[in-house]
Amino acid sequence: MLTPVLIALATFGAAQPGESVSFVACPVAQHLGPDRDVCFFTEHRGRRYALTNPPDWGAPQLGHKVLVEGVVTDRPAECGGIVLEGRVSVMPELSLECNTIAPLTPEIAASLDRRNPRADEIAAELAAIARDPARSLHPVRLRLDATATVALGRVETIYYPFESDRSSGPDAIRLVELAKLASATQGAHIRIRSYRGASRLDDGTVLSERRGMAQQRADKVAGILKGLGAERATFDITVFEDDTEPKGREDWKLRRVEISVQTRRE
Amino acid sequence: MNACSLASALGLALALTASAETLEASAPKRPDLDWWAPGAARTFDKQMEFENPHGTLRLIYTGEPFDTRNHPFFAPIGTNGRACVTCHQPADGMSLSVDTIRARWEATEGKDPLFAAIDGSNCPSLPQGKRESHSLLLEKGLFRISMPWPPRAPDGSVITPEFTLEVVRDPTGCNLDPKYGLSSAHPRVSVFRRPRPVANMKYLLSLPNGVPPHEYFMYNDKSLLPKDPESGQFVSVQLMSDGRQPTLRLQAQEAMKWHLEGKAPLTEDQLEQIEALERSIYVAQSRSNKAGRLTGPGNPPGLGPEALRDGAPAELGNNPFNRVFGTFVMWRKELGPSSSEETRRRDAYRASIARGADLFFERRFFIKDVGVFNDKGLGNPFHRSCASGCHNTLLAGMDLAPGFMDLGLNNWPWNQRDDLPLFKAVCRDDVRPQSYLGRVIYTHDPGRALVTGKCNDIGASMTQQLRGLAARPPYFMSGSSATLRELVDFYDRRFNIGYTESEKQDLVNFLEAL
Ligand code: HEC
Repeated sequence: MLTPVLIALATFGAAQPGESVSFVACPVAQHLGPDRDVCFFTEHRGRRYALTNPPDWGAPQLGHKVLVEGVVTDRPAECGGIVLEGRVSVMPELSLECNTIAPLTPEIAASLDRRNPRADEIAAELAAIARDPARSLHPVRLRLDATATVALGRVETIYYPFESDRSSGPDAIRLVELAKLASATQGAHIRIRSYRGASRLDDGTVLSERRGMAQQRADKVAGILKGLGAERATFDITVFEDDTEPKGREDWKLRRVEISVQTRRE
Repeated sequence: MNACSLASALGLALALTASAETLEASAPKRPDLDWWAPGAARTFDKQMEFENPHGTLRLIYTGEPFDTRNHPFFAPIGTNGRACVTCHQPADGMSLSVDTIRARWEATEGKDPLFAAIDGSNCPSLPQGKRESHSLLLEKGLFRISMPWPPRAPDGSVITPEFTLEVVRDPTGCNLDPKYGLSSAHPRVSVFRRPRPVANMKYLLSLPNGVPPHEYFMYNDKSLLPKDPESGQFVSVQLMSDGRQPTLRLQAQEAMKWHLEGKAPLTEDQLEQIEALERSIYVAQSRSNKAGRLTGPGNPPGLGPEALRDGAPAELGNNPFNRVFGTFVMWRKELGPSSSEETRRRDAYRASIARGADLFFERRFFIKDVGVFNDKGLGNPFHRSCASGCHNTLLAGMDLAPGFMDLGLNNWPWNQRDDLPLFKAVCRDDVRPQSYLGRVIYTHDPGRALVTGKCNDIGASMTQQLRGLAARPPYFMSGSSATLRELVDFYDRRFNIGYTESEKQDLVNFLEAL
């Protein structure tokens, strides 16, 4: 989604790889020039962090704060900031004060990768279109059709943004495969374990998801699997709605649904 | 959707030898034939052309020619003298332009069944036959759509809405009306919408290709797409501005009941005839007053209805090769000094259209605070162009991956209209708020939320196809823009794009040629 931006800037503060951070802050959109998507970063206690997520998990939004839960990596800076391994959640409530688009600076501009690895391929196709304009209407699929492999008995885990039941596109593709597996399996039995999460911030505050999130996620996943063709499977759904004790490290992993397809045993 | 960030890195300085051609003579004008009256004995031909202020629209019908007299799309099979064709006129790109509506008013002194009280007036309880009672139709081309409140699921069960709805202003009187309004015995909400074109349907009806998992999932919240209750198959939800009917058949039954005031549902035979017709009509502009012939060798391959007939449906066009409507490169050529004044003028205009196509495809801006759009994973803002932001379906130009969105046309503060009802929606504390307006929202049309009852959906609607635009102003679902120029100005203002005057003109010229 975002073009990865590799920026070698001086280190900020003294972030040690492996150090865990957990906080709520306003995201800032970083303008990357006329021909690129923006990237997002945030500033917290004198450090600048890149705000990245797995594809389609949910990019930050101005107008909302983000919950950042990550572990500092030693990867080269992105979006001018420290790269975290973890998750960034958009908080559902409005925060109109989060409204900054940072202008492109020469430093950021200089750090942008200008190579286009597909330049030759593109030039060749455009030349072909110039010879035969009708070719411009033959659909070109730039992205490979995404797939996921799932297996009987293996637990697939879907992690969610804070107080959200939206799975990412790649996670939804796993659900498609799980449903296919279940409908192709004689006597399929689907186990769903759904959890409501909480997150301990660096300042000690504990943010708990609202009650009912575990149920909401379980219902949605079960409904999707049934709608995708697993309606003949039996379902074993357990919902963990109780308060969990967040540790302040990788708490995003608490907000999850675990799914496995098994064969029914006597 | 997002398949390419490569697009704009390309300088397309390609020399193309397009053969010089002269302006084709105008298609013969047939103004007497342009209004298709319900039940008229006329032939629906394989190819028909209709004049509009910017040139000619061509309609291709891929079935066998037939006499429309007894066809259920053309015959007044309800009780109010209307037919489907009353609001879906061939000359208007199978929608209905406000010019046509006004001409019908003048020609019939407001007696045409088009102005039927049920939805052709601001409210059925108003004195009929007076201009003021039909002002939304006469001024903005809007029909009344009456939706049950609270919403009903497809099986008729009541959906508990996440928000309350209060009428703040009711210029038509219909939302406070004791018989038709929100406090009536059977509470209903009246909103006012434009007819959507019944053409190029394969692009709307096919599930999206190449954007997994959106052949099963809505883009925004990754819930499953609805299914056709008859076949059990997933549907694309591209029909109607709020996706309330999943298929052409169910849509036709709703139109029969409401628009035609039919006393009985359509028969199986009628449904089959209507659906077969709807799936066989392609429309697009085919000639421009200033650019001449738009189709044929040497012209952009995506223009004209033939391209739509032959094109691949439901494909993502936002990559450097497809550019949504195909290449316009042959119109970017230098103007030859030796050519005639007429040819030079034509080519200059064609070059403007080609620049408009580039702007549409390439010029990025900050798409910000669009409800159910920026919050669906893309980020806020999303720095994209018209094409790579939303209008990405190859040849048709609506958003491919199914999703509704609120551009700001239905909700305050971006659009404020005195002529439309205004509702105050207040969302419960325990539900997800609308992403950029929160829990108290002033809206002229709650849109998709009238179907789902969800706070997050308030004001959201389904993007429309962009073909045959010249034939069917005004634009947007509530007719907010009288002209394509106003439409471009709306975007410019809404997203602070900063188009120059000549860029705006290029975009307008481009849109007019679609
Ligand atoms: C009184 C005017 C009127 C009549 C008569 C009418 N329609 Fe429509 N039609 C509309 C309006 C308005 C919409 C858009 C509704 C919305 O977006 O909520 C529409 C939308 C549609 C659509 C969806 C098109 C799209 O691109 O989303 C189809 C298909 C359609 N009508 C078919 C029919 C058929 C079939 C009939 C006859 C049985 C019919 N209409 C009669 C006004 C009318």
